[in-house]
Amino acid sequence: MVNRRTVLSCASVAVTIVFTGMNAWSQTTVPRNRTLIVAGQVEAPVYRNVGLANPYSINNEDYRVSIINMFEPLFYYNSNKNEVIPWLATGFDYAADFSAVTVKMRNGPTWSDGKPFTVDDVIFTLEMLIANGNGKKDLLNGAGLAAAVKAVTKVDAQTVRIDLNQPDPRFAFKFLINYFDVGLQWLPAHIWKDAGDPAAFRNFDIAKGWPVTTGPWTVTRFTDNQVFMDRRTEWWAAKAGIAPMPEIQRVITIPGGTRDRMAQMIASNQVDIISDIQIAEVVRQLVTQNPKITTFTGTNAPYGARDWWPTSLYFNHKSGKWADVNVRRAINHYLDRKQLIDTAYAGASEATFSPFPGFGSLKPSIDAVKPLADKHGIGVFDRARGDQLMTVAGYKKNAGGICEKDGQPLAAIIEAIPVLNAIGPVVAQQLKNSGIDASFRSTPESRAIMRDGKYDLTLFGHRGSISDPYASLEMYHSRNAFEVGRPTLFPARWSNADYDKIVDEIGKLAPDNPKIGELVVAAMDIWMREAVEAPISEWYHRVPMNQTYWTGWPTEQNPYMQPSFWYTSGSFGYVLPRLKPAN
Amino acid sequence: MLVRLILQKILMLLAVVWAAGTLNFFIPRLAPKNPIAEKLTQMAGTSGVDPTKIQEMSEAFNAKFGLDRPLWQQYLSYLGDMAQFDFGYSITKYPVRVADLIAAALPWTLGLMISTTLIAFVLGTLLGAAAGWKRNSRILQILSPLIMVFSAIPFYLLGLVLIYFLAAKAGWFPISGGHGIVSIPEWSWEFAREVLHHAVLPSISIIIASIGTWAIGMRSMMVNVQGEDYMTFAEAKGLKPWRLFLRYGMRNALLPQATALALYFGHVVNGAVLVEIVFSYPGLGSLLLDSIKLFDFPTIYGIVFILTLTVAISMLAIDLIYPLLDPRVRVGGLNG
Repeated sequence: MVNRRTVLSCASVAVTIVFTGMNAWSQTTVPRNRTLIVAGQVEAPVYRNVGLANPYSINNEDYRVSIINMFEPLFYYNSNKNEVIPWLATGFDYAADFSAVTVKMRNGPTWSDGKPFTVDDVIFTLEMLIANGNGKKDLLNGAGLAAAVKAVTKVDAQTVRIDLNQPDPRFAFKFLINYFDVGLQWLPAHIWKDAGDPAAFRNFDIAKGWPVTTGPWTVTRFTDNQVFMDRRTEWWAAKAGIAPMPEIQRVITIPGGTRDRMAQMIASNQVDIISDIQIAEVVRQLVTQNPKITTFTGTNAPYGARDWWPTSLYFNHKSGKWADVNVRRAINHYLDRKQLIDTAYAGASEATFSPFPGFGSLKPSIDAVKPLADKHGIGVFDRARGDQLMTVAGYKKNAGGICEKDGQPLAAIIEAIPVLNAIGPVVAQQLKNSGIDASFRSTPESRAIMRDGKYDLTLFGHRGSISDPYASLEMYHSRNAFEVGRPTLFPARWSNADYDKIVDEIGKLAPDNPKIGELVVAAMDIWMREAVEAPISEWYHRVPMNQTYWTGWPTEQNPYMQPSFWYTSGSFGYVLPRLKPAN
Repeated sequence: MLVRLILQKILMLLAVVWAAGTLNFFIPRLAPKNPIAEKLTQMAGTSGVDPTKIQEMSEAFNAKFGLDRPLWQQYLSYLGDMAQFDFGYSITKYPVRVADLIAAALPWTLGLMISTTLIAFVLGTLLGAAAGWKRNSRILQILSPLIMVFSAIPFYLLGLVLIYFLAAKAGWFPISGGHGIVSIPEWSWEFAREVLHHAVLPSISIIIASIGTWAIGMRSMMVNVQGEDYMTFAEAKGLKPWRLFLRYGMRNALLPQATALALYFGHVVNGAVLVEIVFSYPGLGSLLLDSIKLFDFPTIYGIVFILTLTVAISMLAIDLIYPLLDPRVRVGGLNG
């Protein structure tokens, strides 16, 4: 007779067997003090792209805070020291006229499946991207490479020659050297050649050990809220003696959620590093209240590492509102950068007067253009001078103190993406105090409004130069001054033929050519005279790092790399083997 | 006659699904946004997309996802795909298929919503029945207004209050997530305990907020039932109070509750979207919100289609089952 007790007993036994049995298959655990836990900021509370490890997919935002750091570049670049670090390759040479680059590969790197990394893998990756850039255009970096590269040729077993469509002395810094969000990920040809459509290839299969990379990690888990990268037993770089074998046994990356949540997690020592917190006061509280937490600048302001995204107030040069240079110069004078930085960043930043971020390699250019900035009043707060310029432009202040011309008050909406919400209202208020009827707006539409050139004024960064001034200068070339409606993230849409000629000339010279200095001054003289934009401040990534379990983080005293782990160059892969257990 | 009636109901179901599906297609398209351009703009701001090549890449991806075709053609393709349950690929998660995304999120939502709905139904119904039966009870007189107050508070607001007091202040429960940040999902007691621990606050917020709805409905039904002749007759026969309560009162009052429960289950897949967001709970609601924010049309279409279908089918099921439960609503009765 089957009664209720019998049924319940059988069910209990069955459930116990299932749980016990399944538990035997569960993943091995690693002690916390050998595990690095990274909380990366992704847009959703969970990872959206589970099982996607294709570095060229446009949907790589989950992957970029984790698996991207398994891929190794031909060269790393440390902007703190202006240092190119050979990695999978040992060096490169340009043809005399910069129409080709010859890259020498290192002997010895192997893929995680044991096969050797060869020049054929480099050729395969480049040709795949170039074919895509010329055809479907659905892979990252494809279009840029297709425009730049004519042919890729194997010279010998260790050497590849890349012929360019146009001479370009900066090709290596655009594609072959990895830093910040610049650089490529090299793919194993023996796997990818059978992948079919590369945009649809997920490059993920734990059973097969995919993604196959040359780094010291293998992915053992990828769910909607965790990525596990476990240390491999062998790594070519450790064997070659160019890097220590990582002491981290497992890297766990989790979706960090909001900044508040990430701050809570690092404050309670749950995680070891989190994405950029941005708000200087929050970081100050973190480093003050938890002595184990540090930043790139330790417990001192600005609590972070300089980024290539200095903030400016951009004028929309396609709008007649800013056609008069006197108005643009007046607005430059109306901005009190010190007050802005004190109010929005608790004093933890530096004012700028040019579009260049203050990296050491750009210091000569920044110093050279300082007298021009002073001459043209760029970066100089002087409200009286601003009022004079507005008068010259034909404006008079009305009863409400707002500048008016032909009965029309000068009004402007300042659009900005949310990350600039701290500074936006202060800029608007400063302009308002000086007679510009400005208001700040940051909505989900703001990015698109800025992108399509449909804004009055916008606050935005640059992503231009890091190693030499050309990239920032090139952003203002007339070829980037798209008509309104055509999308671009170079917001200025400014054009000047004389400026173009100088920038074209710089583009033909190697970054170390001494002639560049005077050309930069000539170009920036036009830029400053025209008051193309109003530079405001440097941009810092304020990344809190916890030393409860791991030490050896990159700092100002030991600036071996940037601590930002989300850069698509994968530069954090260089940091991981250098972290040491705290005990 | 019966076959004809069933066919009529099925035709009605198809019409409802078509109408809802059509709205589902066109409403997201009213916003002047292109998900591809939005995505590429974001990528250009962070990686790998040349800031000056957004337009060229957008055109390539629009062609890939069929967004470059006239809207009517896209609509016809959409109807054909939905009829075959082929939701295609997600735009923002390409090359992941929408069906896989739904399959991954569904268990979290169903687990949370079915268990909380059943608990709230049982507790609310019992409470409502008792409140309707013993209207002079002091405890129930105090409880009734409280229940009404809680039923008026939205899930998510209650969730925030619970997080503040029980998670942030007391530290008894985790603030968010479906399980611990470094734990490995597996078939183990430890993990099951952790999942339950994480589910406590979202569950409580749903149960407290919905218990009142069930209780109020049941209470009014019990009051109605008490005035029926058969109750007077049963009482006159000298039946015991508990028998009167259970067999004559609750049993008859339960029918509309059961109907409401069946309807409610049709909505279970909707999840408590805001609760999932407040608690970072990885269910269907979070997925839908995420897709709406990014204008991921195929994922929005897939999820809303599933929701429409579950609600429509549950309504059809009620239409068909109701006459079996209640002899007063038989087919003949309908004709009469």
